[in-house]
Amino acid sequence: MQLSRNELEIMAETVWQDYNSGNKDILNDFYPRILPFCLRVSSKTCGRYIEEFDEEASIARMAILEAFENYNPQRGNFMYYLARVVHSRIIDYQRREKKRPVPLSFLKHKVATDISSGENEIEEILNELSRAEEIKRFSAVLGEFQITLKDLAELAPKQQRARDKALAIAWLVAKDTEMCTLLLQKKTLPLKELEKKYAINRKTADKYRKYIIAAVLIVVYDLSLLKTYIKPSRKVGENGW
Amino acid sequence: MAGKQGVVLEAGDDWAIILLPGGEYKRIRTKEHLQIGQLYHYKNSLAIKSVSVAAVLLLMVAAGLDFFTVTAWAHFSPGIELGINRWNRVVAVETTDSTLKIDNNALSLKGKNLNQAINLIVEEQVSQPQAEATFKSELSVSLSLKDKHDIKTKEKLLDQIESCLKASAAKKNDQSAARVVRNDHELKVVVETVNPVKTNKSNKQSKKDYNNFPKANKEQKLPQGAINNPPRADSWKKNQSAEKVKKESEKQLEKQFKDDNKKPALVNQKDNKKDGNKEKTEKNFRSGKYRKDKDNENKNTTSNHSKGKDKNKSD
Repeated sequence: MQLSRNELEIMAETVWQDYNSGNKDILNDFYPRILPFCLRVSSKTCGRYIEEFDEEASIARMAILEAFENYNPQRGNFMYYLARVVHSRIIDYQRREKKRPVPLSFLKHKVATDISSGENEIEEILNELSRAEEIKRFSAVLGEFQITLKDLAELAPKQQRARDKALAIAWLVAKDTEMCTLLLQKKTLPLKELEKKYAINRKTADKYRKYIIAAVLIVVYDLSLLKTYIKPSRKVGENGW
Repeated sequence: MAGKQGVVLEAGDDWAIILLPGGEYKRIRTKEHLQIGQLYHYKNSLAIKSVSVAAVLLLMVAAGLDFFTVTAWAHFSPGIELGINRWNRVVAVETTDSTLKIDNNALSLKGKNLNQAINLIVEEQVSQPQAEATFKSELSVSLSLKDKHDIKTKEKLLDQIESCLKASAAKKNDQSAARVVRNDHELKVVVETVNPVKTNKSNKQSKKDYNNFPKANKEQKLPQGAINNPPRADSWKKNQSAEKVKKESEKQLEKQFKDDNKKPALVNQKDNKKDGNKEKTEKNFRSGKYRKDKDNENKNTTSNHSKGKDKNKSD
């Protein structure tokens, strides 16, 4: 399982300290956790998607080892240092490869991003990893309610006005602890209670049931990065349900 | 058009599900490999498509309106007016005379090129059945532009109409001859027709016309196109009555050469060219050969007199 950004940074620092003190085996456990980050860095550098079995992935693995060997806390954050090392090794590899005849398919690839020039790119990679982690959690929670992301894409309201109404209901449910408990226990939306308590149109709530549940789960499980995407674009009044 | 920045929730080979601001879940098709958690800039292709379709429709409507806008009116004297657009296409036809010979419905002038329309009108004007053996009809064309100060366009259009009229006049059949006269901003087509179906009266009339025709031609000083108009000469030649008159005129010429020392009048240049005998006599007369022959003739005795006379005749 992947870690959030802060967890990853803290864990990397701890692992480095252990590695530096002589515990070399600790890297074996840490490799699968740090590898997605390194793959994203190499992917950004190459301008294409890098899989675990690609040549660049093995170069990234070697770069992790090099980073642990040469890292000095005075050089700043370990993750940034690791990203620079991976980027440099990938560039070196590409230069070596350029001397060989280039296949035509290689020309289709996007221009590589210069990660070493700025920290924004590394920040973005770290944010992407955090979002990916949240999304994995989100889809796992949705699975408990027998909802998939494909269902959401199909059943979500198409009109902005309808979406706003559904999101407003979701926020209402998420803030109401009683409703939340009912939802998490029964794994379904408490339509009756909503109708009684908030005079919400039962038909509307039932129609967009899955969408409302998904939004409630984002708020309840505090998926902060996704939460920004489910804020209603305008306020819906009490009589507007 | 600014799009929205969403986050990739799920990704496949050529598709992805993204969450857009405002809680919109969207399944998109994409060729690039997206990774979960990656930010994706979503552009609403439907909006772009609808805008482009609207723009194309607007252009088409504007072009259609422009096509059917009349920029100039060509007034034809029989009472027909042709509305011409900027591409010299006839887009409107109006008839001011109810007793109009030219039936614009039958001609279906709308949508036709200006040249084609003029050709049709001239043809229709000439091919009108006439009771009389000969008739003379006139077709005048004048122009009026929406923009009265646009003299260049007016001149261009007039030139085009003139050239077209001349071309159609040259195409006329054997029984008709047409000539184009231009007066400042007006064009006139004079069509003279000899009807092959004739009565006794009409035969006499045609003779008169033939005799009068070359004189009239000289006096009027017609434009070049009209003088060099071959159908006119051919039409008169082919007429049987005209041939008789021609022979008579030849005889008259010979008599004139014999009796007088005066210069004979030029009849018709085209007739002279085609008649070899006439040409020779004329040449001899001009070079003085004719006189020498006449002197020799006087010197000779009465026995030779008859021979010399025959020679002159043959010349």
